[in-house]
Amino acid sequence: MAHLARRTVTTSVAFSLALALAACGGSSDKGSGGGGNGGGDYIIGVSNTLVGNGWREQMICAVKAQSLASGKVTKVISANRNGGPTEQIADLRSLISQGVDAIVVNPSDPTKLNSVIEEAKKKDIVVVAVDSAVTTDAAYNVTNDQKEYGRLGGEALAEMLQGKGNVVEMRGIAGVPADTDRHEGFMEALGKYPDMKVVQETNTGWDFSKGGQQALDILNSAEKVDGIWTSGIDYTVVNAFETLGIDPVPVIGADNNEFVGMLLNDDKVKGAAVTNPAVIGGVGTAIALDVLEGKSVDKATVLTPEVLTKDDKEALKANYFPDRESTYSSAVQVKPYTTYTNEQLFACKGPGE
Amino acid sequence: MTVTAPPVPQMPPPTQPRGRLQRFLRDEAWTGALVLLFAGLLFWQSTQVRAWGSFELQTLATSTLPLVFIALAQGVVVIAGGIDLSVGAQMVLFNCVAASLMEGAGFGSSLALAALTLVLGAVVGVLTGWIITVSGVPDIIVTLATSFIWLGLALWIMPQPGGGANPSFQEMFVGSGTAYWPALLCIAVPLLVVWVPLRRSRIGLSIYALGSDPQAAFLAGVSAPRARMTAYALAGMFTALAGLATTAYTGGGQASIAVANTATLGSVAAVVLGGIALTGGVGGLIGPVLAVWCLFLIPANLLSFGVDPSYGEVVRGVVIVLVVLSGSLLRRKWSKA
Repeated sequence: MAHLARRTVTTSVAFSLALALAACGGSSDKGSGGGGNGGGDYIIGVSNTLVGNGWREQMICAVKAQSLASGKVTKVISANRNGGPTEQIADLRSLISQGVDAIVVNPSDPTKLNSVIEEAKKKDIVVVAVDSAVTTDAAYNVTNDQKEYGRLGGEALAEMLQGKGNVVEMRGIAGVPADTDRHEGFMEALGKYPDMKVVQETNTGWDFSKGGQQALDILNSAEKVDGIWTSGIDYTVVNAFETLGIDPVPVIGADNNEFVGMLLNDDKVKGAAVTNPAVIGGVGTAIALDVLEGKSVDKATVLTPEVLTKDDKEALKANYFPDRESTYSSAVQVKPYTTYTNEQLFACKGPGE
Repeated sequence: MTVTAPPVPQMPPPTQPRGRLQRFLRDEAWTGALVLLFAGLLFWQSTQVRAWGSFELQTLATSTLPLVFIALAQGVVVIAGGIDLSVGAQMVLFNCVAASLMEGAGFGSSLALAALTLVLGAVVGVLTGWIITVSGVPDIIVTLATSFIWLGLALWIMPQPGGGANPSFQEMFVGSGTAYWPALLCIAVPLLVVWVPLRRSRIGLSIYALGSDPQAAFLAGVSAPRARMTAYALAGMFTALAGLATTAYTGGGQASIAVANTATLGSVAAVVLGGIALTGGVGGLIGPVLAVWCLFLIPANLLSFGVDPSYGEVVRGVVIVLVVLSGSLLRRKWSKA
């Protein structure tokens, strides 16, 4: 009997040790949440459900940088894990419990988060959905204009080809709203140029190596290609030309660091970069803080992409960072919303970190 | 026949507890320790959150509901000596089935559709068990293969996220306002109505027997196919409940492969942490429920410390390893003692 009781105790001790381990590093930080309204010491929560994606990580860094630069935020709590709406609802509820004043969320679904967002609003928490929109009135939406992304890129390509030629359309993932919108915009731009023909259409899955491989296949085929529009898979497409030892045709890409660098430094590379800023998280933070300060803000903010052309060396220079990785979204500022310095963004540290 | 068998080692008295209390302590030590861990985590959370109360309990109970059901499904299969890599895929499939059927349906017809989903769950389970029995291929291979089938079907039913759910039906699972008890009731009812009586019945014992030693079970006259198919059928009903809970929680459906995979891995973690031996035949269904709650609370509690969530995952993993390690060391010591 004594024997057994001892074992039971041992098991419990083992569990308690595990618990203590889980708890270590976290001393009592009680009550830092919630009450800070008014004095400007806000707590900002971030929710993201796609981990390990460079664009999304940069989005979170922008939230931290903007919070720091604003001087009005004491803490950024980031709920960041892979999952779907189920996980995200739980994360949003946890953020509410943590006493945040505002939540910047990249929604995993346009409707399924509505009830928890409405719940947050009842507790006077400002919710800003960034990147894609949610349908509830309780949230503010900040989105990149994806249709315009396609249209501006299409226009730039048509201009470079003087309105005629064979073009390849390299899309993202079929069925994703951003892909559909970009395609619509692109087709709208081409509609004005009857001599421009889409001879190939591919789905790159927004995968750089896959897109590069597809470009190789297309260039190796008999089809004559005068220009390529991509939904953001750009520098590997340019590399395909290099691999084959032929001069690149104009390529329209996104603001991927490597591609911007190519446009800036390589005279052979032709094309333009259309921005799709990941720092939209910083824009969302700025808007959330405006709402908290009682300013009147539109429920929907749509960011229009910029086109960086080869002629505009200044703009290209401002958007190229040799030290950052190839796929870094190099449109690092969206004025007038973002007020952080580039160094603050690159450091990716929120207030108090 | 005068072959002298090697002396059978005598079981020492301590492993043969005689008193009820002793047996209870031995059997429930793991669950008891889990209760302590859970209580500790809950207390820790209550010291972090300013106005800790029913909202937080509701978050815990409702957010984990799908994963609890998935863990129960995995638990039954593992007790029967198998492992089911398709539980997450089944949950996603039933989520899509329920959400597409329930869109715009009234409360009454939603209940009927929920019952239909449960029947489908049982059918899927029986089918899985049958394939394993007939083919003789290990569970892990068969269920890996079927997981692709269920995910494919889910994508076919719902190529884009969508569907809907009746609000009263949703409340049945997630409660209205900040009520947390409906979610708890959703766990308690199937456990009390189905699992408890089954565990004491002949077929329930045969599930345990199959899990602990298939050979001995066969010699004792246990029908392995029947026991296995029952276990899988029950698991299928639990995955159907998980799908229904997801539908109620999110108010729609989504055929997400990532969600399915995360759920499947989570179910194995919960089963292991819940005190069910992966070798089969050992454990109950209370452990996995507590384990899911603990696994939910650890990263949630770390949130406020600004701990990078990936470190939160590391802590979660370390807790699982430590608990399982100490558990298995203790078990080994007991069996030698």
